[in-house]
Amino acid sequence: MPDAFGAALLIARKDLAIEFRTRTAFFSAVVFALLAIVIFFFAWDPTAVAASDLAPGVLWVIFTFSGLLGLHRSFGVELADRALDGLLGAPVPRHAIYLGKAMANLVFVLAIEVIAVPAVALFYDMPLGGARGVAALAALLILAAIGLVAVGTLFAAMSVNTRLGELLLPMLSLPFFVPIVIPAAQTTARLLAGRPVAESIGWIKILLAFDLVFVAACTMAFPYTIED
Amino acid sequence: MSTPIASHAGRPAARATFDWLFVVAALLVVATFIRAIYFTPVEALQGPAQKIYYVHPPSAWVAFLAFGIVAVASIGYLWMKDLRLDRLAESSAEVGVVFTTITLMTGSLWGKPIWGTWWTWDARLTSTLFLWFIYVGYLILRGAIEEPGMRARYSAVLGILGSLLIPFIHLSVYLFRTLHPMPIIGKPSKPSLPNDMLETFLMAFFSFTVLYAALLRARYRLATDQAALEAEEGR
Amino acid sequence: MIPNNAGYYHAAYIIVAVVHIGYATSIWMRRRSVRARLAAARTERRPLR
Repeated sequence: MPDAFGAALLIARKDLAIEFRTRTAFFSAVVFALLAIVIFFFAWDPTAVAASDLAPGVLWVIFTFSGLLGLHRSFGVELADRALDGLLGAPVPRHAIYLGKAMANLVFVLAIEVIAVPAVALFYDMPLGGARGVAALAALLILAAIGLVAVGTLFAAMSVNTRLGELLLPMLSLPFFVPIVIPAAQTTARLLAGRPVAESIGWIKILLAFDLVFVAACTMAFPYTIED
Repeated sequence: MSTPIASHAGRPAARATFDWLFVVAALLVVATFIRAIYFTPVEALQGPAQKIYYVHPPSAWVAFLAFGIVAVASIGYLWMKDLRLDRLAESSAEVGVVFTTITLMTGSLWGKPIWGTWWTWDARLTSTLFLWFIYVGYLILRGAIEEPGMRARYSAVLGILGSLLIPFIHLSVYLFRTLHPMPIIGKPSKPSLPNDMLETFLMAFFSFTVLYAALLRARYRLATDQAALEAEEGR
Repeated sequence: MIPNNAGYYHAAYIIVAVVHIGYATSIWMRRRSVRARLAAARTERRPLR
């Protein structure tokens, strides 16, 4: 479907252009991530638990929550002036709208990570394990972000239309992030401890399976959430 | 005698009918309780607490059955767009939450004397807990949408995705536990049960399943009335 | 020696009974109020026609 994919790219570009001009959601998500890094540090007794042992857990908690901030924005911007109706009236398949939104969210989440990961590494004295470690961590982040964005984009589309609005998004999404956070945090801890990648292969398979199942399921389910 | 009844001459809708299925289910459950308490021997190693066995696994079975039916009814709804299927999913989800709550509570009460702890992050416990979270979220989502068609579509999507999620949670928590062994007392192994215990156990499964059917039917009738009321008030 | 832990199973059975009775009652009460409102809505509408 070259047409649908082109339309999806166009929608993603539109969303990113809006975000790039205003930058409000991005900056608040980044500031949130930095604040969370600081608060987590003081929530633990540094003499009992080494900061570097905390780092993987902190990283993934921040990843999840700052991701939620970006996800809500993606359909929130369409509410003003009933912009979503215009989008729905456009001659593009519904799947393309979902994929476009999801791609924009993926870029958003990864951009936050580009700032949050070095910040965690800096504040928590996290050993990054050289170029190989960084590459493995980056691959892991992308895998996890795909799953998070696949589910989160769908639920964001749903929750903007409800009476509870943004309150509903974390409540619906967080259970779905459990099978992302567990493998990701486990793998991160192993990679940072300098263990071979082969040891984490089971976890990576779970992440891959999650991505495949939920990207497919959410793409199929999305048209039902916007039909009228 | 004058007849003052004629003033409110609507249909006698406020009269609820006799629910024979519910009575049968209640009798069956009471019979199971009596059999489990008085006529089933006490297990020698675990003591009387083992009798939780006759309510805990049957409740867990019904919980998973209920959410299976939510998923099937949700798929059916998206396919056929029949609001009766949506009401079935809604009813099954609510009854399922009740059974999941019971499963979690009785499980805790069994875990304390046998494992020495109220809670452990074992794969089964954790997936049951998340089952509870997802379907409580499902019910909250339903409560947050007014329009019946949209409510049906949204909750069907969540009902289907939730059933896809449970295996993933189970698998990842299972691996988490095996990679992080903790000095938790092993699960009570399942030895071949003596016949009278097995019969009580099977009887409990049967009567809890009938109770599920009875509650589901009663809840479904409520959903039908609610839909009629929404239609009536929406005029 | 059989451990003395009957209290746990008593508590479990009581919880099962209380939760189910409570839930069945809640269905019954909700249905009663919905039907009452339904009947009221229907009688209210009739004279207008």
